[in-house]
Amino acid sequence: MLIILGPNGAGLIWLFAFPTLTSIMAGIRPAFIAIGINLLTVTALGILNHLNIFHGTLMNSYHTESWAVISVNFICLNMLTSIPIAMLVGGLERSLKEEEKIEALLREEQKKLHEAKEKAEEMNRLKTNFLANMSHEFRTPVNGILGLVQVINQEYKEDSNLIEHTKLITRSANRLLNTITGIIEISRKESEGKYIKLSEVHPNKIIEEITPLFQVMAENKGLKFIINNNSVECIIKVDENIFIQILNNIIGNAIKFTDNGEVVVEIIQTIKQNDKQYLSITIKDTGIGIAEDFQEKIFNPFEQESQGYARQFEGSGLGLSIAKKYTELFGGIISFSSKKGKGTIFELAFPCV
Amino acid sequence: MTEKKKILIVEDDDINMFILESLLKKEFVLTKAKNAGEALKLAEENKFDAVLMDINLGNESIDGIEAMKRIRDMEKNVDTQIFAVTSYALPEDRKRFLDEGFDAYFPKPLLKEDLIRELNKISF
Repeated sequence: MLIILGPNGAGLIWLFAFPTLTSIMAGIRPAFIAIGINLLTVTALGILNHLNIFHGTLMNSYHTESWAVISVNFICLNMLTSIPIAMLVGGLERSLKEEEKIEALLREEQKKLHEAKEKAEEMNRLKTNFLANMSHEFRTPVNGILGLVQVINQEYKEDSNLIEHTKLITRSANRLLNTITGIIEISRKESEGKYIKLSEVHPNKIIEEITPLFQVMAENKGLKFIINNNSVECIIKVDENIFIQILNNIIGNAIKFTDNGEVVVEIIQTIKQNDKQYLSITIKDTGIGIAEDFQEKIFNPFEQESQGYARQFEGSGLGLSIAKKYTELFGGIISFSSKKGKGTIFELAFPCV
Repeated sequence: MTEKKKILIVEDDDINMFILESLLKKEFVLTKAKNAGEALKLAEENKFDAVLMDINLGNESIDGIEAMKRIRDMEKNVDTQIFAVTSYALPEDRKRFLDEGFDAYFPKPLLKEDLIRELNKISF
């Protein structure tokens, strides 16, 4: 084409446009090759012209020298345009590729997260369903037992011995009902955190409400129940029902495991970790205490010091694990010290709002 | 003495049916249905003052909730009080069954006194 049109015509323009176009379309390395080809072509044409191979037909309007200067200028211009364009295009491409890579990674991570979430939700659904079914399957036979007791009470109401026995059946069945209902409720709370409702609670009111209950429990066992409520001003942020359950578990245990003496509950406001104000509830009993080698296990679910069919004490073995779990959930601290045969002191501390 | 109220008991469990029958037979006239199909047929033909409806009726395609809704649509039993009597007794179940349209909710294990008190409230 150069030979036909001559380097001073459209061929010359095409020749020098070539590297710029190459750099845009194919990148920096092909652009350098194109510039190289241009240089070689121009040099070859110059030499051939100098040797007078074309017999003056090629350079009809220029002197060879001025043509060479223009050509070199064009090549310099080429370098100046091709290189930045190639770098710009290459950079753009690279950053696009990087972005795609990052996006792909992100998408993958999101997918994984989504899958994990779906799986967790599915497990929760299954667990919730299972618990609802278990509750139903459990209540049906208990209804059988308690219902038949009511039938017996109705048909044999003159037989006072029998009625005494059915009372015991009712009591046992009700205890079973309470235990299982409690376990199901705990499991449900665990599988669905939404059951926890935090609110600002004035502990005085609650303590006053539950005191009579423990008074009766303690009196039934011939124990003294003393409560030193120092009317603290501190307000705590807890789920009220769970807070009551925690107190029930710890104070209930103190009464359960004490046969002689007293249970003393002391409520004060005190400074603990990080100079913060805490509500402190200490429950001190003169009961059987906790054996040293069992002390590290007391917060484990289902752990009980006396086990097997001959175990001395009733209960599901969940009370303390629940108390610890929720006390800590509310930002509180649970601790104890105990000596076998002497008694136990529990302390519950909740941060004041 | 006033006439006894007519009650339809829908319950698939034999023992629970026996218990309800034993506890209520003195004060009420009882009709028994072991599944939703029987219950719907009986409700189509007879007027009842109350229906005690179990929710889980075994492997039936119609459960107690659906059966309650169909009985509500029946001419003879438009005004019939329909009670859910069920072992579904989680804390949120009471609201669930009342929202579905039951007139009262009795979780199992049942207390005879609760049931009789509510049944006595119904006017003929």
